[in-house]
Amino acid sequence: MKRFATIFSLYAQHALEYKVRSLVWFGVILFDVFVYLLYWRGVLTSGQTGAPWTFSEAVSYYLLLLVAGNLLQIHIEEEVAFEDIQYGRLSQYLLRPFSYFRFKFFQELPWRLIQGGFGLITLLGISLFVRRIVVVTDAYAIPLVISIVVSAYMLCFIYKMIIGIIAFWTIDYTGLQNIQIILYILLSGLLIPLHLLPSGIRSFALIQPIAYTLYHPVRAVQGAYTLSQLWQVLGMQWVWVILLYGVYRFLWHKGLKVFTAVGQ
Amino acid sequence: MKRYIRIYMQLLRLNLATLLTYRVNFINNMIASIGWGAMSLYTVIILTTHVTEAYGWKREELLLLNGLYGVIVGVFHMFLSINMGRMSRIIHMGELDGILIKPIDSQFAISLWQVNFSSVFRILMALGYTVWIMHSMHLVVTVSSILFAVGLALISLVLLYSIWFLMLTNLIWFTNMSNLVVFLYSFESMARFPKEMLTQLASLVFFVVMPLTLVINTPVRVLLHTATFADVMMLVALSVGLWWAARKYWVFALRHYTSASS
Repeated sequence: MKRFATIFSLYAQHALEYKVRSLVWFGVILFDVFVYLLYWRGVLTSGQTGAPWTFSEAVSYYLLLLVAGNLLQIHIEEEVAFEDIQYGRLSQYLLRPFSYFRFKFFQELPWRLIQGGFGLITLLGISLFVRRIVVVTDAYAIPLVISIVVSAYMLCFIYKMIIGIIAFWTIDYTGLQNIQIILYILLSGLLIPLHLLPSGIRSFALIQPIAYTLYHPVRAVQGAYTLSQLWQVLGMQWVWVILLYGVYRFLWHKGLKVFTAVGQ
Repeated sequence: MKRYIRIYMQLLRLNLATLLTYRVNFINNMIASIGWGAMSLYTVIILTTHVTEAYGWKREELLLLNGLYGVIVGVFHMFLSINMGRMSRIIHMGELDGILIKPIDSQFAISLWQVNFSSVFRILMALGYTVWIMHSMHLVVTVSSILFAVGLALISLVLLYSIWFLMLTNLIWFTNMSNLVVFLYSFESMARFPKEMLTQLASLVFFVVMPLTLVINTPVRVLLHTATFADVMMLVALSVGLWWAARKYWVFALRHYTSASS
């Protein structure tokens, strides 16, 4: 465990050195949140009938999404695909006496904590000085909500690692990366809360794994779920973690056999 | 000028040859391109499902705005943004050296080297959608208004390019910021929304974001017969001004490029 603490510490220094990069990732989500809030402000405060939610609910959802998007949205897939697999840097990791998966896990963690910190500071600032954001307060629910947030991180990490190692079989990874970004935006709740989607796609959107990386954790922190619903979310997250980890292991072993070690 | 046209024709041929060599990648990119187009349209459909109007724009007008956004941005992604997406890697890995020693303009080479042919499908999809929306709105359009809108769309492309290039030139100093491109894609999506949405912002933010909103809003207003002379002039002036600024900034930035050892 000590060596992984060392990896964490080394990459924490790295993340602190490249603060501007973290700030840009933060800016990406901040900008999206800002645009959607501006749009909903115009729509929901103009007195139109049949609006699906209130502006207050929209503010609460999108600001919590700002923190969750920065803390839980992993960006490891580009590095795994381009630098490690396509440029052949993976060889260095294979020669080291520790797991590539765990190395990447502890490499990514400091970045998430720093970007999540930016989000949290923004949320606290807005909550204190502009508009109070309502979050879960039930003492029995809080440990469950924390577990959901941690599980969401692990689920997203495994999902992005799978996306990254698909580069073992592709020469140009860009198309695949774009497809996954589209799916992630549509199915994670980044665009609009999944419960507001049209009924035809809502039920599918709510049970697929990407929803458990962002949408469900945000709703859990909002206090939108009962205790039994929180257990249900946690249970489903672990079903997906186990399933996707199985897929990752399978692809990793198959992929290593086609990896040419000098890049593609 | 003739020489650059000849070089560009040769680049088009090379890109076509690459496309024919890596056909699976092309299919991959084609699916992604159609996916982005569909997502952009789906986004506005979802956002306007329960809404009759936003910021004085009717639902159909918002759909038209997004249709034309798909066309203009599709063209931009086909010829320009694909090159800007690799700028970070080119600068970070020191590959810019290879471009600088070529006997052609470096901005030309870095901006136009690759062509993303798969974007054609996105453009066609958005174009079909735009025509369908215009038809369902019973919009009366003349040949001259279409030509005028197309002309403004081309000027909009210059503006969009200049905004992207100005921002990405900063990579000369911050080589590790490959995610700046992701930010620009996000920033660019602002153009899908009505310009009026920004009027509630503080003047400084409005000043920064406003040029982007003109990119799609102005040609759409021409089609809707609501564009004013001031709208058109502002788009033209900003395009010329930012193009000039982007060029000057690139030349200035190159003086600070420290090659692969940076």
